[in-house]
Amino acid sequence: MPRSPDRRWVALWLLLFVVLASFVLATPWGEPARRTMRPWLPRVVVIVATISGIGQLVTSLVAGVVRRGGWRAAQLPLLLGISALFMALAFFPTPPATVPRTPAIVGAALCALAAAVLQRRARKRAEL
Amino acid sequence: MRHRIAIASLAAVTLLVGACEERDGAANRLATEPAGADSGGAESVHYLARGTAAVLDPRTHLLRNVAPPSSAPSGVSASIVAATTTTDAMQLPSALPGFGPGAGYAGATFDDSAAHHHTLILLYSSTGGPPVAMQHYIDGELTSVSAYSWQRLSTGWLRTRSLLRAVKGGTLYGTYTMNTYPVQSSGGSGPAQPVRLERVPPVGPFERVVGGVAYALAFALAPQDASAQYSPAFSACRQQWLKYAAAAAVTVGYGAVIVDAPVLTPLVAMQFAGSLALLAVAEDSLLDCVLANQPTRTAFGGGSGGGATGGGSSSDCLEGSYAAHCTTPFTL
Repeated sequence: MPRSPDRRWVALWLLLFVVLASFVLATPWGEPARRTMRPWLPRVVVIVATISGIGQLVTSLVAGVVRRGGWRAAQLPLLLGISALFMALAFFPTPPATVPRTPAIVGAALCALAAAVLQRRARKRAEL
Repeated sequence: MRHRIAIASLAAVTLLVGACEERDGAANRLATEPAGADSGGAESVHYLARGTAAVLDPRTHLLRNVAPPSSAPSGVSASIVAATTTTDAMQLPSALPGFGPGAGYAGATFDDSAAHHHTLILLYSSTGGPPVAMQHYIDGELTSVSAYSWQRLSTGWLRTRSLLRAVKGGTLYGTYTMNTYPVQSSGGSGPAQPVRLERVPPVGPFERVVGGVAYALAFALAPQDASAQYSPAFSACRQQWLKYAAAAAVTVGYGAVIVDAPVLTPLVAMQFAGSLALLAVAEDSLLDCVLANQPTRTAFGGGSGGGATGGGSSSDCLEGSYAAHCTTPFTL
């Protein structure tokens, strides 16, 4: 795996690509693409988020309990798992809902940001 | 230091370009005084408009002109006192977005802060130009019909007459008429108010620039009409904006986790991909809401005879008639 500074550049370029794609979707030329993707995107979110969420929860359980890493080892994957499950919940309980629910997305955002903070702290501790 | 000067210069040039953007070749917007009929500067005629109001007498069912009292007693409505007033005539430059190429109609809709749905229908004559009639609907009910007469000038269009009819339940209950008349600048006759408008004051280059910047800033920063002090695209779509912001926060959060994680696991990568899909869904929902709440403008359409569809003569529709055959096609 590349070192973190290299990965930072990859993430930066990826985010720039996301911004550019968002602009393109907002233009009239992006309207056909939006119409094509509209019925599929919620299903993709639900499937991907459910799989990754359950995977993160299992990882949290393994790291915290099985490997006896305690709360410190379990909290990051736990937050990531909860965030992913919130993303999946945004389109429940009336699938295939195309409009996500606000509280679930906000919950996913809060958990994702908390996970980012935890990850940054863990990196700082590892560098010390 | 060099860069700061360059950036400041660029900002100043941009501001100047923006201030001069809407300059019309005939009517110089940088001048704070309205231009006269002769764009060459040798002004000989100026136009004023006099308005009169009439309301329906509920006893006789006849329209009676509203005559302002000689002195305004306390308690008299300011609108009645000012019903007969003299003001500058409306003049429009030659090319504006609201002009039509020929016969037809155009519409615009918007919702006000009280959630009332407004529809404005503009009717155009076969000669094109500014609209000759306008209908205003609130929640699908006709509230007013206006008819305009225009005269073509070298600088654009002069509104020679306008007649507004206030309608409720299909019954006329008030009118407001404005007639335009020319005023000779050398004669000096007429109301005292327009004396200062009878000639364009000399404006130097510096005053033009300052005036233009001030005008642009005032136009951009001054509070708009009370009923339009909010953007429907934002206020009606608050939930969608919040969802989009939250989805963006999810994406950024996962991106930060990916950057700082010692090892990039497939689970985190999958979550990031899911967050991108969620962001796309939120953006799609937001765009749909914003587009649905924009003041829409229907495609310019209409037949060769005038604005209304068949059933009755369309010429009366262009004269501000509120008959059913003029208004039914636009009732929602």
